[in-house]
Parts: sequence; structure tokens; C-alpha cells
Amino acid sequence: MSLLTLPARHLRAKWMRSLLLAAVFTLGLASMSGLYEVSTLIADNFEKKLLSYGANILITPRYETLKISYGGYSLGDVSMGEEPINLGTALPAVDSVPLRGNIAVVAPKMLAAARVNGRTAALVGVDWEQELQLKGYWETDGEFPEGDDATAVLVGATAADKLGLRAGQTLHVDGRELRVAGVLKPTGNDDDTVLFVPLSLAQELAGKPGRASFLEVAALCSGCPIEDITAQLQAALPGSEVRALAQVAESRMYSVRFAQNLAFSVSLVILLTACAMLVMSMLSSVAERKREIGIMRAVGFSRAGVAVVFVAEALCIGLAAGACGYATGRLLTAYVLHRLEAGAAGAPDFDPAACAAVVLLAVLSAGLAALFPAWRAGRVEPAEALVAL
Amino acid sequence: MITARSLVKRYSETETPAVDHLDLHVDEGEFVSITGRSGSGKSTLLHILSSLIRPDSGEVLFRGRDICTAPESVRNRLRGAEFAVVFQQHCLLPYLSVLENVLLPFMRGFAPVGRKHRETARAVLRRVGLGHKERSRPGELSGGEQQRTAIARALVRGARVLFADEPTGSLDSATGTSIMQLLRELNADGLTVVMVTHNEEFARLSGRVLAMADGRIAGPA
Repeated sequence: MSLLTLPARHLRAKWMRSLLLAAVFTLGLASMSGLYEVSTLIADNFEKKLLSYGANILITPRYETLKISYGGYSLGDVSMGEEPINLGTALPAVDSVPLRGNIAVVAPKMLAAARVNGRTAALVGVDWEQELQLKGYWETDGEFPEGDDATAVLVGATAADKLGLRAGQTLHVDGRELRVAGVLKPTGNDDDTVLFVPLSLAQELAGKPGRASFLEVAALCSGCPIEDITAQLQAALPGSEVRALAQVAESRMYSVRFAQNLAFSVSLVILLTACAMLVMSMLSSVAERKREIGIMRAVGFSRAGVAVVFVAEALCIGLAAGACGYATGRLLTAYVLHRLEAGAAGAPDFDPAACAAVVLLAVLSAGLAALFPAWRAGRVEPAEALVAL
Repeated sequence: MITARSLVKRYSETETPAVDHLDLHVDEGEFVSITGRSGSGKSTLLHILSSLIRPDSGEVLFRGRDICTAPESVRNRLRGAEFAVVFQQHCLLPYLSVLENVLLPFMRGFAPVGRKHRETARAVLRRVGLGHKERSRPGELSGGEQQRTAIARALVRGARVLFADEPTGSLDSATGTSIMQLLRELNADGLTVVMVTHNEEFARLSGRVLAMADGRIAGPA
């Protein structure tokens, strides 16, 4: 028996009221944790899907241009000191950045020109596995090459028309015999006019083994701003130029953040409503229990001692509601994901840190909500309470 | 032991004072009854003497120190240890057992109530004739038993002065008599008792009876 016996006994004696109060608070916290979890899972899933619509960071070799003109005659801009990116050092450097976990795809490209079936064509050497992750929107009338297929070629729609190529045909690239794995359906961008070949072949044709003309990077930006990832990549690759394709990143993140902000706002309103109900309920409890407060004060309880009784009651309710709210929130998440047919987002795993955060939030909110009623309880004068005796 | 000088207490500026320049002295071990009509100011006087309210002016000396101007913490400590107050009715917490109600003055901190205090509480409950009711709830007790529980709570910390505000007011005559008998026994054991009552018959059982009228001591009853 101690000071804390009083709130415990009172909560037990008024179990229906305590239960209702805890239920309201639980509902608020369940909605909050559920909405947060659903929005996070869906945002992650959504962002992963968005990745297949292209890169949002471009890494190119650093070079300078020199405008040459003399006697009124211009030779145009001349690139100075451009060296293709060394993949042997660049890829480990990308792997070493602190935000590596946010980098989903690193797709190197090597540009080359070659004679294809006797005509000059532009080739883009790619790592099939990385490229196909990045180009989720590609469709082909043939098949997509496997990761280590060194003889497959994917032909852009316009290039296929010009060169007369179809899926399954063989073609000759600077004397090497290759196979058209598929012809891409029109994309409306540069992909239509080129042939995609294995990276090693393009490097060989360009005479730059182990190099890449540029790297396309797809980063997940829900956890951090794209600028942070760009800055870290730039620091890791001092000889290259790293640029965020801001418009791509921003438009992508706008949708994700909109959903998250909406969920956060709704959750906040629900939590504030629950807190307001707790305040109202405790204020009415203070009014009802004036006699009790008078007795406590008459036997020597200080104002703070009386206030602690009320705050402790609220903390108990917050603690119970926090634990129940997290558990209910998980059930809610599973139900909502099921209803949204968003199974791909993945079922929520039990996260002790998230559980602790919800409980802590509940206890803090309840404690804060109880401060004013507890202060009022502490201000009750024994004489005022004794009028009722 | 307790000396009140020129006590004045008004509840509003327009009304006459509930206590009006009142002087009083209570010796250690005395049993003083204060009688008077409703509104005579006797309960207000008791509340001032027991440090439940502060007067507008005047002083109350307890062992030579003015408790009216003492800080709140000192007054809390007085109410918790030296003074004990018993009211007319409804002075138990309904969700605590009889034993827990008696232990209430020890439950002011986070430290658990020790075995020694529990034993003291049980002894006091036996003293007031409720040793067999320690697990009961107040709702299961008669009016007299509730009042005995309140008196046990008042005694558990070894209070020197018991202030009783109409302690028999809500009880039938026989139960009231038994409560008065208990107060007399406690007084005989050395407890100073200051009681406010309407009942002149019970008042006469105390050592000294004072009559109050219009906020002043009108004299011995």
C-alpha cells in the first residue's frame, strides 16, 4: 500500500468508467498506429513500384567544356578531360555511403556506336538485372534477357523498324553474332532509337573495359531527402558529377508524402480528441471527488500528493490503452491492407520499438491531458471540500 | 497547548463574520465541547483550529508557534501527525477497506506502508472495537462503525489533538453515546479533544463546555 494504491483502487472501483475511458483512448491510438503503419507500408510499396518508372539520380563523369572560336569561325563546345566512370571503384564507393539502404538500383550504361547488319547504330550497354528493375514499364514482343546473357539484344521500336529486326533473329554487331531477344514496344523516349546490349560488349566495342558512360540510380526517398543521398554519393565519388533529377524525385515523393501527411493529420485529430475526452472525464471526476480530496487533505496530503493520485490514474489508463492500442492497430492494419488488396505491401511485423513508442506516446499524452485536472484537484481547498461533508 | 487570539473569519465582505475576534485557550489533555446554534461559527472555528482553513486575521498558537501563518507544508504535516479531524459523516474512501482507510495518513508517499504501521493500524482498530472488520468496505459498516473507523484513522499516527465536528450528528442516540464514551476513554488516555456539537447532553460529557453565538464565545454553557 502506498500513494499509488489510491488510483489503482479507484480505477478498479470505477471499472466501467475506467474501461470506457481506456477504450476511447485505445481507439484513438489504434487508429493512429494503424494509419501510420498502413501509410508507411503502402508508401514503401508505392515507392518501390515507382522505382520501375526510372532513375532519380544521375552520376556522370566530371568534365569541362571549352568554347572554341577564332576569326569569327566557331568550332562549338569541346569536352575536356572526360573519362568514363571506372566501375571497379565507383560501385564499391556507392556501396559505402551511409544511406546505401535507400539505394535500390544502380544501373551502369556504356554508350557505343557500331555497325549493325551493315548500318551504323547506337548501342547502350547495360547490366540486364539492374536495367530491368529500373525499366519496369518496358514491354517486349519477345523475351527479356536473363542476368548473364551475353549474346542477347533488346531493340528499341524505331531502331527495329530501321534495321528490319524482329524477335528471335540473329544480327551482326561489328562482326559478332548476337540474338534479338525482343523488340521493345514504343516508349516515346530515347529507348526507342537504340539497341540495348550486354554491358561488357559495349565496353569492348568502345574500347573501355570496366568503364561506364554514366550511372543511373534509383533511390528510395521516404526515409530521407534526395539531397542527402546525392550529397553522400558526391562525397564518395569526387571525380564524378552526381545530380538529383529533382522533378522526378519530387513528384514521386509528393504522392508518398501526401498519403503520409494525411494519415498523420487524421491520427493527430483522433489522438487530440481522445485527450480532450480524458481531460473532460477527469475534470468531472475532480468535481465528483471533492469530498475525497477533502479527506485526503484533512489527513495531511499535500496539493502535489492529491495531484499525483489523478495523474497516476491517467497514466495507468494511458499505459493500458497504449498496449491495447498497438495490438488493435496491428489488427486494423492487417484488415485495411486486406481490404485494399495491398497484400504486396507485406503484413506488418511485430516491432518492439514501435510498440514501445506507441505506449510511450499514450502514457505521455494521458499524463499531459491529466495535468490540468490534477492541478485543479490539487487546488481544492479542504474547507471547500468540507462544505460537502 | 492551543491558544487562539482575535480570530476573525468572513466568507464574504457583506456578511457578518463567521468568527469574530474570538479568543480561546485549550490545555493539553483537555476535552472541550463547543456548542451553539447553526451559523454560530463553531464549525468554522474548528476548521481554523485544525488548520483546514486560514483566518482573515488573528493567530492560533500551537506549542508557541502561529500555525495560521505557517507554510502549507507545515500545516499539511500538522494535519498528518499532530492533529486529527473527524467529521459528521461520509469521511471514509468507499473503495478502500477499513484497514486501508485507517492507513490513509501513511499513504502520502510512494514508499509502501510498512508492517509496523499495519500493526499499529490493527491495534487502533481493536482499540475502537473494529478488529474484526478490517477487510470490510465502508458501505458494509453501520454509521457508528464508520465513525469509529474515522476515529481510528485519526489516532493511527499518534495525534495529540482530535478535532471532532459533530461526530455524533448522524448517529442514533445509543451509537452516539458509544462514540462519546470512546472519545472520553481516548481523552482519559491523554488525547486532547476539541468537539463541536449541537447535542448538549453529549457536550456535558466533556470536561469543559463553551457556548458560541455570532462568532464569539458567549461563555461557559
